[in-house]
Amino acid sequence: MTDPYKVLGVDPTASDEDIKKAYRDLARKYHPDRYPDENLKHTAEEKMKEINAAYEEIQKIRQGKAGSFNGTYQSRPREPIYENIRRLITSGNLSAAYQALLNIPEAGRGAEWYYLYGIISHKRGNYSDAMSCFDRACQMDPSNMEYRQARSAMNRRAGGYTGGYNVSHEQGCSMCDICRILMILDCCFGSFCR
Amino acid sequence: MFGYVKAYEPDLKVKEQALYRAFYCGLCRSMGKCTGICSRCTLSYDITFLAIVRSILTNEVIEIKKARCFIHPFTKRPTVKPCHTLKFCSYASVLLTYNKLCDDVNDESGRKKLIASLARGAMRPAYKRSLKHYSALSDEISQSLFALTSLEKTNNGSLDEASVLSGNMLACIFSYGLEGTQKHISEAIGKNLGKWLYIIDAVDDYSDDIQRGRYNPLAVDDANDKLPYETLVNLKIILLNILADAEAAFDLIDYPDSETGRMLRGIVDNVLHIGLVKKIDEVLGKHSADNAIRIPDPDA
Repeated sequence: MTDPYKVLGVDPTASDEDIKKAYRDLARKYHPDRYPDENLKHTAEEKMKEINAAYEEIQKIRQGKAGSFNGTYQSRPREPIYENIRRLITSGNLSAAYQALLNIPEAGRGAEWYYLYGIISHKRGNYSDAMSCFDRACQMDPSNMEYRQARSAMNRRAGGYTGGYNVSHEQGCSMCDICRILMILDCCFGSFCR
Repeated sequence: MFGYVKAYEPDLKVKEQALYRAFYCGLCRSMGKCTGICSRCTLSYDITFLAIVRSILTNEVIEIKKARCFIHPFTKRPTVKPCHTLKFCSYASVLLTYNKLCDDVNDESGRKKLIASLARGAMRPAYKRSLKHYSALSDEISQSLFALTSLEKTNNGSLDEASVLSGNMLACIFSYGLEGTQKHISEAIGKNLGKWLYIIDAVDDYSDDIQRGRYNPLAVDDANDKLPYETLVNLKIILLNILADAEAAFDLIDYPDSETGRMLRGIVDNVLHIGLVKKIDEVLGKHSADNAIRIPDPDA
């Protein structure tokens, strides 16, 4: 099977939005209605099949690695109190979920507590708290994939924002000597020359 | 707080760069007229960006004229003509700077306090002029700053709590006088940029603050004046996540369907996706021996 990312012409680290956009652009490009000629139409349809398959494949891969909160992710049986909090979070009632978490005494706060606190913080845009909580949850329960995925989703989102990981300032055109001199000359004498 | 929100000019189109600089010049000129010569020292590209965003949101009619100025007396430069947006930004810049200086006078000591006090004195006439038009905004800014410094004094607030207060302050400024969708979009932009600025400022001031025993929200118990690499990676992830939230708000903006609208979009995209990202690398890179902060690949 060909690399589905190559078929859509996207980087594997591209965001879900970019993947969707790439799919839509390709669907528009290879839409059979653009090809009155039967043979070309057939070729376009074959191409569309390939694109659809690639898109579905990527969805499958990403669901498996999804960092998005899935209230019914069943990795192991959970205490009812946490099941309830997960339901509150999924239904958008963050303040009730938050209060319910705070009501749990400190002695009873395990990995699941920190994970759910992290989820609420993340939804509120409190990324520093979210990150510390996810890290704590992973530390307390290293085998839990859900906790790891929540943490790595933050990395993915950060990497996706820059359009690929680690676009540091060295990779761009750093100011070379020629540019630097031209800039200085422009500053000093540019007003005379223009 | 200032000097972080800047476009990366090598990646701007020539016409976009000209418009960007025309806004800067226009803001300077507007400051001279509205708030006096002294207020020009509060001129920054950060406030220029505020002017650009507000111009887009309020559908400001932007006119350019060539003008000379004191610093560039020999050639006329394209300058955005005075308009409501530039006037607002001139006053807002003074209010922000003045309130920040009041804070410094109250909370700092020694040389920093003296400099703040002198600067505040010089800014007082400009401040009084701004109060005439925007006293409500001044109140909102000083309340937010007060809440922030109170939290910092407790030494108990989390980085998120403090950055949210900074975000609230900027949200007031970005959304002042706007309504409906424009208000919601500008509030979200202000909130996220405010959070981003607070954290980046904390990283930038870290070494100085630790050396002088001043408060810094990132400080841990050891006295090392450089942040550890792992912390820098985490901060980079947090800062980029905040920018992703800001980007979502920017994506809702209806840019004017005109050449100017397209240029403004180009400038905003540059600041959001290149300028601010490079600034993260620049500020965080100062703490790292090899200047590069690499986010680990989560799929590895």
